[in-house]
Amino acid sequence: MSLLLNAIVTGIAIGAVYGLIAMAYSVVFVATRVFNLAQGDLVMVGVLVSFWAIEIRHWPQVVALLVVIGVVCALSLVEERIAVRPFLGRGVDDIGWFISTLAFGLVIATIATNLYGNRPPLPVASPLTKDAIRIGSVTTTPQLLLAFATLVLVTVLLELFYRRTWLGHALRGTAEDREVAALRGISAVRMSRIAFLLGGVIAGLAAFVIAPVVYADVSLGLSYSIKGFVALAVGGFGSTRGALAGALSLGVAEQVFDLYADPHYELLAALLLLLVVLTVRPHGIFGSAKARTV
Amino acid sequence: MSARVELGLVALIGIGLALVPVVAPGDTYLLNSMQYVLALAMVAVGLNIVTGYAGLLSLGPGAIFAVGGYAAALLVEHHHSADLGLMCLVSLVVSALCGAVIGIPALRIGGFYLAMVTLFLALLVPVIAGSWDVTGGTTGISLVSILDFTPRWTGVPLYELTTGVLIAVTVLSWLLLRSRLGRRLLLIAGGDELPASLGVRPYSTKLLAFVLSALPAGLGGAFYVYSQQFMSPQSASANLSIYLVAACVIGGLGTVAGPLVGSLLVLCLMQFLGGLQAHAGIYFGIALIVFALGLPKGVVGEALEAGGRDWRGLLRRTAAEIGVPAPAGRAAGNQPSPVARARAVLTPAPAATTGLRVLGASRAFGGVQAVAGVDLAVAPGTVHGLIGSNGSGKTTLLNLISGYYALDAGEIWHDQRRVDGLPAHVVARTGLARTFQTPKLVEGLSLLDNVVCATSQVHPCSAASSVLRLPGGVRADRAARERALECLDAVGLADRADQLADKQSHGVRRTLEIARALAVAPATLMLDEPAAGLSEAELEQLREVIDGVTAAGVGVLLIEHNLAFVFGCATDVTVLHQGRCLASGPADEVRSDERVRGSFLGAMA
Amino acid sequence: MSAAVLQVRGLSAGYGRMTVVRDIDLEVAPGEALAVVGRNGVGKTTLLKAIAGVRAGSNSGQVLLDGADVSRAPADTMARRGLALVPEGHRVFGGLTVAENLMLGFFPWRRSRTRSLEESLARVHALFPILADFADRPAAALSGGQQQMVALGQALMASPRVLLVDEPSAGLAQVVIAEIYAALRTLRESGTAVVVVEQNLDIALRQSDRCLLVDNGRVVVAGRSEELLVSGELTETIHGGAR
Repeated sequence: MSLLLNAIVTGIAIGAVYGLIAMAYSVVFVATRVFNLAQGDLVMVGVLVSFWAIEIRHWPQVVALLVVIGVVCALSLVEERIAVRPFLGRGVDDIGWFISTLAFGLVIATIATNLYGNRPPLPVASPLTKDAIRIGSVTTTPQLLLAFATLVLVTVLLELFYRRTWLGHALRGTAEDREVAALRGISAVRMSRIAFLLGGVIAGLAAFVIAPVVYADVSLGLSYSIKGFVALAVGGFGSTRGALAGALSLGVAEQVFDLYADPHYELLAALLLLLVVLTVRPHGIFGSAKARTV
Repeated sequence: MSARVELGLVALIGIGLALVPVVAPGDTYLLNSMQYVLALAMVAVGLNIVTGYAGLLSLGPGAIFAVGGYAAALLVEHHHSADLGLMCLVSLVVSALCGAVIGIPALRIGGFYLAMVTLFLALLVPVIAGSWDVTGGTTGISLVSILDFTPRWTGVPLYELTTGVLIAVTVLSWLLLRSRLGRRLLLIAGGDELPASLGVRPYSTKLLAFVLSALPAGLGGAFYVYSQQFMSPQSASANLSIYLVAACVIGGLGTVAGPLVGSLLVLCLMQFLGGLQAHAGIYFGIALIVFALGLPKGVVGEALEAGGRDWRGLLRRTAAEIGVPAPAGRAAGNQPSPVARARAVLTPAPAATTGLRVLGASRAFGGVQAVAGVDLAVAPGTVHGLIGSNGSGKTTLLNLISGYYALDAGEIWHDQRRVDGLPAHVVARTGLARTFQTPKLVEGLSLLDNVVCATSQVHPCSAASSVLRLPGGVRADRAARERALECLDAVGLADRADQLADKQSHGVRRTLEIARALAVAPATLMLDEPAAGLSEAELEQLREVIDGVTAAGVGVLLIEHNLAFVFGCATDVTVLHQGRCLASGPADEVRSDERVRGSFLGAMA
Repeated sequence: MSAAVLQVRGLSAGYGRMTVVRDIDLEVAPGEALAVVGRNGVGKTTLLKAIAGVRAGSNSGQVLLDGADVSRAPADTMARRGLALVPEGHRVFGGLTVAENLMLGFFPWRRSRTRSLEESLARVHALFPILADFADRPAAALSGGQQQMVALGQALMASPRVLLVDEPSAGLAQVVIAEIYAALRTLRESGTAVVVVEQNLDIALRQSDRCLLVDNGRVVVAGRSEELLVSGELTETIHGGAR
């Protein structure tokens, strides 16, 4: 029983890692209806930059955080310009962006691999203590708690941003009806740029927070992308709360799978969860049928 | 004879590949590398079937390749006497099963779920294979270490055999594209509505496309294992899948020679990049972005277009070429009227039907009641006009009848069958044909082939006999073409039969949709604004076609804004306003109805 | 008519390979209402969209806003320059609440501005009181007429000098139509120029100063609405044209 409880708590903490990645996806998706397949690689680059700034340059944590966010944002904006914007006007059926974002991810992953060299995946020092936190029979680490707190903070801020600010309304409106949004003075191109900027900030923040947990591993970009997708698909596309719920479910599902099945096949847990949810609730836990068509 | 360019290209590539051992005799390293390239090229040819033809983005060809490869390797591990033939067979069966298992859930949702689920598998399969004892873990399965296993084919003969199989697979994909099954895949690429309206079940067709694409992938896996003598998780990394997608996009999705050209380009470069191999992802990633952005038809597609031939030009064949005689009795002087011709293609008349009846149909979207309690009946052999302002619910009603949306309340009966609640393709098969407000056509096909998509349903044969050009398939396909030409003739488009749909004017595209709707020999025909944007002459022709259709005993539901046209041919008219029936009855009564006159500007006519 | 706020000269437009609007001239002064009528499918919607910068095909001619050439300006620029189009079909952002829909219409980073957010909101609420009552409802849950008010209100949040409205009465009940036209009248009195495409000829003539009849993409009849209403010229032309 305490094993299961531990698995659930660890699952929620790991889910927070996926949740941060999923939020970055969601911000871009909500505004542009583009599912950015390079998002996982952006996070991976952020983790590598964390490693470089903290372990090699020994910069202070705050400086490192700013550098990570800056680099990831810059890459995100470059991606928006060359791999996404040209497809924005072409209608929802055009899947060119699918291929171009995948290709962009391949390019930055290859560059990262060449820069990182032959080093094995190395840990990044956490600013927090490494001592485990014990509550009753449950243990977790401060860094995972930080990830969870960051996720909650990001979710709340995003909800407020979407509900309370003009820009939030404009981003949601553009996703719903690009033409009417344009008629109200809202440029789709500008919204796309803002979405990728925001996505970059969240991806950078995510990368910095999860770096001590996941190690600097250049091969992980694609699996981040996939996990983020599963979190969104399980929670329902376009809903911030859905992304949160989906990510936590995914984390818990993985840990429970590890406990009762075999950790080597952990990836299978995500696939099974995805297939089960799609069979039972095709539009995700918080999704509506409308979001499906995009 | 504009057509065979691509097939010629495939033949040239085949000859070129076959000559490699002659040009570089004794170079076993080269030969072995080329074996690898050829095996993966088969996977690319398969990927083209689902992504190029059927328009469903699959990003995990490497996963199925791996499954096929492991199946072949495991076979040899457990039955040392097995050889290439049996390995191929097992790989084919296993990969087809694997395709079905993946496709059944992934295709249910549509959109980009197939792409994501397949990408997931591309990542998952090597990880699983690397952890599983059965597949040999990270070291994989080596056939060299199995001493009893002595391959019958080696060296140059094996290479030539692989080349032959690759070319055969490519030619088969060419035959597939030009068969009724291929046209069905092209229909699917444009969305679910058009195929469903022709009685084609979208889901099973997509699944078939995905399973068909798995076959060459599995075959590629078998040849890979046989020639390289091992299978390991590194043989099918996630990046391999991306490179195969890149090969198809760069070569030209949807063209027959494209995947061949693309995979030779990409994979040969990969094999022979030497020290630069570590940077391959950068080069191919950039190439992929460039092609996706600026050259979406790929090397082959763009070259064919630049050469003045359309990339799907080989689908065009003139009526003369396929040996379809001009419709009989067409000598000048005794040319039958359009009325008679339209009537002729619908004869023998469908069995007597009770027509179409809509009882109390209602449907709301969000807070808006789009259709509220509408009653309507279309009797055989009559025209029922459906008019109303923009947004009054006419097209929604049509989509409800077609089965695209479910009713909130009410019933729909067609031909003594209750059809509400049935899937759209089943509704269509009760003899309910329709056109669309914005014509939905397969753009890359000729006018004739667009109609053949529909007549193939009237002259059935098994998909295999059509792909393999067996006598039964040839006969049915010929009959379907003849009928399609008659249908085109009935609407006055016979002289354009071999022109491409996307090069036509708006009026021709609308008229073509009517020919296609006639082609399924419907009991009831629903036309959504058929007169919009037609010239006077085209309007006259449309009127005659409708006359011919009703003369054959077919009921017509006509949505139209041109009220003069509606009142000119409709027996009954229903006026919709805010989703409700404002008036309904014989055309003359409705025309003089004050409420209707007051509600429409055009009603003053 | 020298003080025209919007001038259109020789405008041709279409979508895809079809040209549906051919060589149209029109102008409208502050506080003036111009009605554009004609059968369905003759290019009225395309005309409004082309003026507002929504272009889906070939496009030629000149559009002047306050004398400045804006022929090539995209839709979002046109909106920020003070021209608002309310497209047909009461298109609102269904996932946003009524209040969010209205707020979205108030583009916050405009340099020249006559009203603050609060003033704009008060003005829209004065025109359509129901929007204040339903502020927190999702726009998708409203009736068609209420959605049309949201759409109009959203456009008015930017205090446009020229308002283009495409078929505001389509599919709506008489009471709602009356309310919407009353609002348009109030706007004209405050100096906004209004161009309205209307299906209902009677409403079109009674609610406008001048009227254009468009057929086959061209202006067939143009004149003062009162005179056209009396002479019955439009009715006759349509009678002939619709045959």
